[in-house]
Amino acid sequence: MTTVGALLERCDASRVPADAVSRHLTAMLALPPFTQAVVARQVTAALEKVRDISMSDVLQRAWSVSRSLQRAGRESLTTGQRQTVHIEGFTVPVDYEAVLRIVIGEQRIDVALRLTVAVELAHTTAAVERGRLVWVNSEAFTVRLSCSVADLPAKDLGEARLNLALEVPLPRDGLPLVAVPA
Amino acid sequence: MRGRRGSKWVGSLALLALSGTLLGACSTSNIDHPITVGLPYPQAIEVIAGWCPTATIRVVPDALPGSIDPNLLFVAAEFYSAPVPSVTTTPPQDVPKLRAARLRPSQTHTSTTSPSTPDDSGSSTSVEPKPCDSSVPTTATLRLETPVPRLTELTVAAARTLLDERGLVLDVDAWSIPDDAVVLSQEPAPAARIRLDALPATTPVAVTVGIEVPDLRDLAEDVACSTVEAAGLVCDLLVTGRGPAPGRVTDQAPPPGDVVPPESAVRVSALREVAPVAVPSVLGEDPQLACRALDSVDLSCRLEGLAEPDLEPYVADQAPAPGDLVPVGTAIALTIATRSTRVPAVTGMTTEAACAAIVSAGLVCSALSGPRTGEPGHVAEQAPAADQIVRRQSVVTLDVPTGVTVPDVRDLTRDAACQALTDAGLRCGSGDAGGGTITRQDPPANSVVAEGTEVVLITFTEPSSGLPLWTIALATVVVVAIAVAGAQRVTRRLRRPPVVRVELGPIAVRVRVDQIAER
Repeated sequence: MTTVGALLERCDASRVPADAVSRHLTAMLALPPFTQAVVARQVTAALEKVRDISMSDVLQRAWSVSRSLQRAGRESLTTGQRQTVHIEGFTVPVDYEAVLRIVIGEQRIDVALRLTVAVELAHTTAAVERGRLVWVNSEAFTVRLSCSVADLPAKDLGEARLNLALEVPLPRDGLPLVAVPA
Repeated sequence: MRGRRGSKWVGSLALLALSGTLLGACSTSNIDHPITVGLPYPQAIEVIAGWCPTATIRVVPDALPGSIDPNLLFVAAEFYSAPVPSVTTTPPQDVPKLRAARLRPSQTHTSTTSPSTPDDSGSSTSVEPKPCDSSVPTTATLRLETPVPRLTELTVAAARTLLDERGLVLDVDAWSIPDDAVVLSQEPAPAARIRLDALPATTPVAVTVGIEVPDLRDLAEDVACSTVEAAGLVCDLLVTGRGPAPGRVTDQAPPPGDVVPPESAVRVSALREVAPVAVPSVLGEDPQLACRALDSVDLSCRLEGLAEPDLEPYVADQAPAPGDLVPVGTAIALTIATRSTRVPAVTGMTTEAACAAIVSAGLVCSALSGPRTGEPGHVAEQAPAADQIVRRQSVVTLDVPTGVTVPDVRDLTRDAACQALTDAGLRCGSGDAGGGTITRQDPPANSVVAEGTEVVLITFTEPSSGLPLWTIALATVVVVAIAVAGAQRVTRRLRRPPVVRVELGPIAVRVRVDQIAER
């Protein structure tokens, strides 16, 4: 399973978010070089959770907003039959937003950070049973990354083409797509 | 040949005698005359005119409407007052009566001479003419009858036309019969003859009729019933469905083509179909208003996840989706979410547990750490307070004491040590009141304690032993030096670089629904 951190490294952009935060911070505060380095190091460490975001998580959120899959999920519950779905093209941007709290001595600064993972799927075929996604395949799966700090414009971090089959470890009984009535 | 002719005359006389009896006033029926019983009416006229041009012919009924075909009328009985003529087959030369009756005499004629068989089957017997005595007034009275035609399987209209041509009337066994009703049976039977005492005949031809059930399938229900009633049947309309009238006929009984008695009931099953309804969008609406909106288009609502009204519930999702076409009465499932939520009580929890509870309540966690009073790492205070209703994604601020690191005050004088502890937010605790330097402290140096914690200080004092003055002076110098050094250490500690701490708050995930592209 590919993570955001792995993608950032692949795109040679692993330091970009932390650097962006540090630059924003140093523009606001006059910090001595030593403190500046400490801040950058701690920001990098704090962003570890963001780096751990997996493509599986991103895709799960993408399935939940696909009209075709949602409809198939409902029909599979209604009819009790397996539904096959073909989606020609599907693009979903998913934002991961967090606030970095940076305390330097008595000063405390909150910096908003947003990482956007845009999923692009082409020629996707999926099977849905009992409201659950049980099989999915796509001819092309591309991920684009961008990040923005505070109110600054978003910065593109790059894009990568991935193998959907490796990124979606479907459980044996599938992923839930719609709420199953009691 | 002669013997055979004689026997026929005997038969004719017998028939005349019978006819005279039937007519009542036929007292001179024994005169010799041509036998015309069973002949078609025009032929009988020809025969009589040929026999006796001066004869007066009386026909009963006397006035034949032009609509009646005289060839379909037959002579039933006759009466002559003149001397008996001989039967002839010679074509008549003068037929004024015939002309008066607007009939054209035939060029050849073969009379029927067999009174025992009064039909129009013809005869091979011919006799020589024997003219009547013109000095004797001769009158011939002809009574007419007509054969009943075969009416079965004809329509009522066709049957009427056939009977009209014969002066007969139709008697139908129902009040209102359409012209296309079919005759099933008749009385009298076909070929039977009815005496025409008057026109039309007083004896009707009674028929029973049947009506062919029309094909009503796929007709509108009102059109179908009109068709049924126009056919002389009764419409038994059975409507199903909740749609507007008229419905469409889906079935009928009896089936099309069946022949049934008049005024039979025909079961017409009609389905009033309902046009599908486009599901309106109620996303974001208050649940009650959403249900009202669905009800206004004949849909119903099913709420999933009802919430307290104080929490500002709204429709977060609906199924089927807006714009989908569904039958009237379909229940639309509405997923209810709230715009507001109750702040959970997190005081006393660890920061991680408190933030998890806050995020799961749809709020944003903001933990402020600092050297405050309270258990380090545990929430001391929260704002807003627990159970307050706030909008989702509101920030809940947590006050989390980080604790104070106890400074190392050993080797300091008591005053210097107390100053250092006070600067660090701690309290200078009691201990022995010795005047020497601090030799032991509790809690120990570098331990993390809550702000305001009391630190117990222990000093070591040399016992008074009457030492020489120089010893005391030396000790004083040493103590001062140590105090100065301790003060310098405290100062160095206070001038250390500021503490840098970076914390990442809870990560919120948001799908940009407005930028989804799916095809």
